[in-house]
Amino acid sequence: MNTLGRYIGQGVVYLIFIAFIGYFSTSPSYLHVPADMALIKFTFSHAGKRIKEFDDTRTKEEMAKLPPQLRTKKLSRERTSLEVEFEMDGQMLFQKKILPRGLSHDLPSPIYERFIVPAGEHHFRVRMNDDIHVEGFNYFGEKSVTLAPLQTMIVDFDDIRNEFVID
Amino acid sequence: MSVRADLQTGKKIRAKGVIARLSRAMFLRIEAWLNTLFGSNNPLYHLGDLGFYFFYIMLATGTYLFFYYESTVSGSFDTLEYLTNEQWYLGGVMRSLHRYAADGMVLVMALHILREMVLGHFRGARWFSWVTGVPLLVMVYLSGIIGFWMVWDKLGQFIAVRTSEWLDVLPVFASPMARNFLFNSDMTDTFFRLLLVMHIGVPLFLLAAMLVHIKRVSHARIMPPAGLATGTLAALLLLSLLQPTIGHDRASLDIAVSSLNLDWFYMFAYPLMDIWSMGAVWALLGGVTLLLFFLPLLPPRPASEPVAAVNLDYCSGCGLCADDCPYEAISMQQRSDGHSLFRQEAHVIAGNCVQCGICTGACPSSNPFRHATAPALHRAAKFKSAIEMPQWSVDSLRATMTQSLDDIHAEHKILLFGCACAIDVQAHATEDIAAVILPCIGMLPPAFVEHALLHGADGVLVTGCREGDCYHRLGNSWLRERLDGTRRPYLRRSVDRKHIDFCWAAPPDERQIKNAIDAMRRRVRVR
Repeated sequence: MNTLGRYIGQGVVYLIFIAFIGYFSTSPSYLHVPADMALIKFTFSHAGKRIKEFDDTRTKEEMAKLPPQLRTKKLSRERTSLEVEFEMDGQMLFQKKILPRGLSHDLPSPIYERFIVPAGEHHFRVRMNDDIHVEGFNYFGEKSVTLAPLQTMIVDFDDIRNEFVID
Repeated sequence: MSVRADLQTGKKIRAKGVIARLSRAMFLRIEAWLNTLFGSNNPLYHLGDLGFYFFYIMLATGTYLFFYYESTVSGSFDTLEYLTNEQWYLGGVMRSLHRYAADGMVLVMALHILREMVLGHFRGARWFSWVTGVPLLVMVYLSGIIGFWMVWDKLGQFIAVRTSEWLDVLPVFASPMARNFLFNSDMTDTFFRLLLVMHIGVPLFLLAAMLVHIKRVSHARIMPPAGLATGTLAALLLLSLLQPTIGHDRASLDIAVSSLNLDWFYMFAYPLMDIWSMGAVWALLGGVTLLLFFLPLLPPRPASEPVAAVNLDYCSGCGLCADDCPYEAISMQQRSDGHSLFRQEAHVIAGNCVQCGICTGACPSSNPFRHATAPALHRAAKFKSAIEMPQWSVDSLRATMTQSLDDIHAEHKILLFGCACAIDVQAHATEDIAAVILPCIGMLPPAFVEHALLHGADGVLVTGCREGDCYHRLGNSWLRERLDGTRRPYLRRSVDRKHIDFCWAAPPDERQIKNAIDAMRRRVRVR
């Protein structure tokens, strides 16, 4: 092949190279959330109540034998798993028991779920139990929201006011 | 005769399995086509150095962007928009070059991995370069992803949220990391400063890791040839002008991300997070990474063979073997035998040796004439080189060469030296052609060519892997230079070069070797 032909050929290879780079650096486009939908993030991190107050198997007699400064009872660390339900328009979106984090299950139970739902008016209900000694649920939240297209709505739990926030 | 048989058949390096054979054949076809256009600048022979080159482009353009980039929540987007729209002629081009060089790096890296895998370059002593290459993948992706994040447009928002959600699958965070991206008010300038530090810090680690990656590769190229470098930069510049990099809308965590122009080189896994579970994406990416990491340990593993051995009686400590070894397998050390003249000796690092024999070709003592003229002490001994592999000794090479020439009875004899990694010269042995196969053509000491011409051969045709594509990296280049008289040990000037020719050919290049043989036949007949 003569020199001119080689240069032309090289030019073609470079064009193929930049065409490949140029195309796949932006294309094909990807649709993450359709334009007529909205995004709900159901997320919070809440520590359940402790399963028991103390975690000590020593008897009173054994405790009495100890020096006074060592007679304190060992506190229990394990926390209750959260039982959570989240409904939209009467339809269950999420229902799960969330284990506490940590090797001793003594950390909060984290939740992070996302739902892509049609935009428009919806009624949301959320329930949670964080205490093993309580039957049913001990926290409730409920709200009707009109979701705009592509709106992101957060369902959170306020640990200070101990209530759900649907916003 | 076992030694002779070993040399005749060589240690054939051929891809095994249908997929491996097809892949190798595909690469060889494409490379042959590119060879006609680029010659020694064939981009597929320079994938590693192109990776370095793209890194340099990113370093230069990134330095320019650094002076403008404001690492704050609003400033990050604003400064990049300014560079793209107001200063498009320089800042915009720099941004585009930065982005496209990053994409180019992923592309050449993927091709580099694929090619080295197809050619089996991850086995044996080459495991080190392969294994140290795997963390580079992770670092390139990490720095790239952070780079997209820093723009803080809708794409950056998507990357930030989905990456956090993906990381949250690991049960290590007490609170989900993705909760940091719920509200716009959660974003802080400090966070963007952290991203900037990471986007500078990770590439610095990447550069260090790239240097470790080539540590066991001597004469490693970290810059492509000038022609290829110029062409690549010009191509990227053209792309930057034709299709400047533009961002998406400003990020807003209140509004969900809808349609995106993903950079598929970096973000191919993100759509999978929507289709599969996050755990499945972890399994895929983690599985591929682990597979690449442990690939050198997977069967079929190469049989263990003896490595090069040093014969101190003949070693003068000249260091040519250490200079020519492509794998840093030879070091020069202080003499251990108390020789009165020589202060150093060659030492073979067994773990690095790939048994290519290039050191034997580089050793001045691999001289087949030496036996006849050496002092009586040496004359009595078997012909040995100062460094050679027990399974392919110079003595057996000389015996094979002499016997092969004696076995043919044509008027004009041609000796064909071949290489186990390239075209099979044995298939071309005929009534006037004797073929000798070496593990790598770089193992051929130049004096053997002269010896062949003086002991019956009318012409010597040296073949090996395609130019620039030696299976053992440098064997064909070194031999060419030795025979051309530009690299020690030289072929003596008195040897008539008209009776020596080269043919660098891979298995599909049958026509090329036939033409070279025909041309050599015509030459020897004229003689």
